[in-house]
Amino acid sequence: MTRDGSRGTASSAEPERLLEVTDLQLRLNSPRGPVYAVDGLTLTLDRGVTLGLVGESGSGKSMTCKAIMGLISDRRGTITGSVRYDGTDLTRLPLERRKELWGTELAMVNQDAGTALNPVLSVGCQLTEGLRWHLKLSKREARDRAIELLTHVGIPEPKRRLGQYPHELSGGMRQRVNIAIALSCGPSLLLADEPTTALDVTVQAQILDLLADLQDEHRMTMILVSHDLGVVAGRTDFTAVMYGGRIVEIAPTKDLFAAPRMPYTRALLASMPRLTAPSHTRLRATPGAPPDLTKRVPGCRFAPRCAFARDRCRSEEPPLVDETGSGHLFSCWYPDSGTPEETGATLATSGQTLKEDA
Amino acid sequence: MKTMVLGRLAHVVVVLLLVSVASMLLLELVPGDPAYAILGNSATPDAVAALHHRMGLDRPAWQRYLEWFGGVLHGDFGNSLRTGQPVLEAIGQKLPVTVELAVFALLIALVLSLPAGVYTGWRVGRPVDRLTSGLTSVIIASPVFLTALFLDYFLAVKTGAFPATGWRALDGGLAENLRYAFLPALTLAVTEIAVFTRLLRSDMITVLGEEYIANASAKGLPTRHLLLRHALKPASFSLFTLSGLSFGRLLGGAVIVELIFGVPGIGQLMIQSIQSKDYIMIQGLVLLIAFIYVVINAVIDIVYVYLDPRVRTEGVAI
Repeated sequence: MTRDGSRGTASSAEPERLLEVTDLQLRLNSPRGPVYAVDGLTLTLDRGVTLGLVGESGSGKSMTCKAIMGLISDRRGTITGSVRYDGTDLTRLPLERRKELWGTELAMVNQDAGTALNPVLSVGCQLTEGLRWHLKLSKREARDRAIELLTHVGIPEPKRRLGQYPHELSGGMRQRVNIAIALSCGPSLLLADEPTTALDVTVQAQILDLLADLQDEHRMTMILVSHDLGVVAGRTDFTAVMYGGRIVEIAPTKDLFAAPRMPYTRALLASMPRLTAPSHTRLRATPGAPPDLTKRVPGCRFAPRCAFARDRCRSEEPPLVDETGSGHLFSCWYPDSGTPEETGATLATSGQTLKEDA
Repeated sequence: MKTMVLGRLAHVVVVLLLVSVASMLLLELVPGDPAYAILGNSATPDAVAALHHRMGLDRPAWQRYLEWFGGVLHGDFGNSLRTGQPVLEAIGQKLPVTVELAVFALLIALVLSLPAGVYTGWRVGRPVDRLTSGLTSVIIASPVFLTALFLDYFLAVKTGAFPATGWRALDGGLAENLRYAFLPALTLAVTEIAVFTRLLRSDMITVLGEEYIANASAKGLPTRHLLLRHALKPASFSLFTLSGLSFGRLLGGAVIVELIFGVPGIGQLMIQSIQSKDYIMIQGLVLLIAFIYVVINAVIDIVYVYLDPRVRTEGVAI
């Protein structure tokens, strides 16, 4: 995916392609047998691009991030396929080599800022340890750098914060600290796993603005995981919709929200509350539950819940293809199915409303 | 902070009062007579009555208690009924030996259980963990006299590396003193090692499952740093509290070990005093051990506040 248009296409000596994920599979060990949390995911990302990753809970968004990082221990599960980061296949690197890239090349911001910080270590300690280990800064240099970072993410009185502990900070402050930590060693790829879900709406907007600014500054690539479609609509270049551990539709964000092709994406968009709808309108929920990832069934994963599924959907899995050559990929045998009410026009408006909201 | 310390102090006083009353009552209820212990079983009733009068035993228990308590407030714990020696002097001779043994045992226990707990908590289910788990079960299940005899047999009798029994005071040289102290201390430590290791292991497992450890790991920090800096501190809080309790227990509970190894500590004094119904000495001992126990735990509670930043600012009321 290449980023379109105005923002940050500045030329550089570095190759444009940063991440190339091919047929990534993450099989987690569980008492009920293997769970296919990520199942055949393919994705490419260029430098400076933001990809939104959306889907229901349990669709494999967070696990995709963890699998890309290689954060899954051998005891917990197995990763197959390849994750080429800047030309190196991360899945083939031993843990020690991967650890050298964590923090410096790939970094993560997690959903719950409250549990992401060690409660018994000071903010300063947690912010400087990466700097000291990876960048070999002295205590003093790391401290100065930490103060800079805190100032940068908009934390007042940064000097005082260094001596404070996580519980002394508000949720928004903690998430800012987390972001400062994630960015401290200058990563090129930031995996932001629902970075604002636990925060209130104003703080959410501040944090997302902050991420966007920092991203522009460092020409950082970002994967923004969210189940908030409004957030994704307004702040990403591309959007990928996940279902049952796979990407079922991926397109430039504008296209995806204007003309979703796959019924699941349509259902997801239709389930969003709209300001234009009369009050007390029932939200359009998709009936059924996300698929059981311990079982692998033939055919389209969404077929059991899809109102438009036919025989072929239940026997043959649709590939993720770009039918029109416009960079809009989806996996569905019968795209654009549905009543007129659920298609085109309504969804396009909803997409626009969302963008205005965000 | 000030209220907390004061509250803790009040707590100490109440506990000590209760302990002293309880020890008095207990001795009152136990059959036997110190007069017979001193005069022998063939003593005439007249001689016994005379001795009772001399020791004040013909007066009611509460009067004797109040008299004793009044003395304690002035720093006078009375004289041993058996030897006539002042109680504080007798305890003062024996206590350093027991304290040394307890400190030594606690040190051995911590030095061995810290790495064992961290490692097994990190490598759960691996051979080393399974082996340690089995070993600690066996140790916890074996009575202390068995451990004592086992260690004595293998480390003293078989190899001759350490003396089988006996004690050398510190003024005879540190090396000699430690050589004699090692086996009894190790015996005392063995159970603690097992308990400490298990506790730390389970706390490490809990902490290592926390989100913040996964997050710290994603920063690319080395495993050693994650284990020792991020995980050990929060995982060691209950171990810290437990070692305080252990220290108190080691002071009062070293009786069997002191007897087996012939260590002239508080435990031996206690046994002799109980055998001769020397209730003045027993009350003094019980009060002193309770005092040390309660003070150590009060100190631990206060230090805890400095260790865990969450307790510090939330100002937990005690």
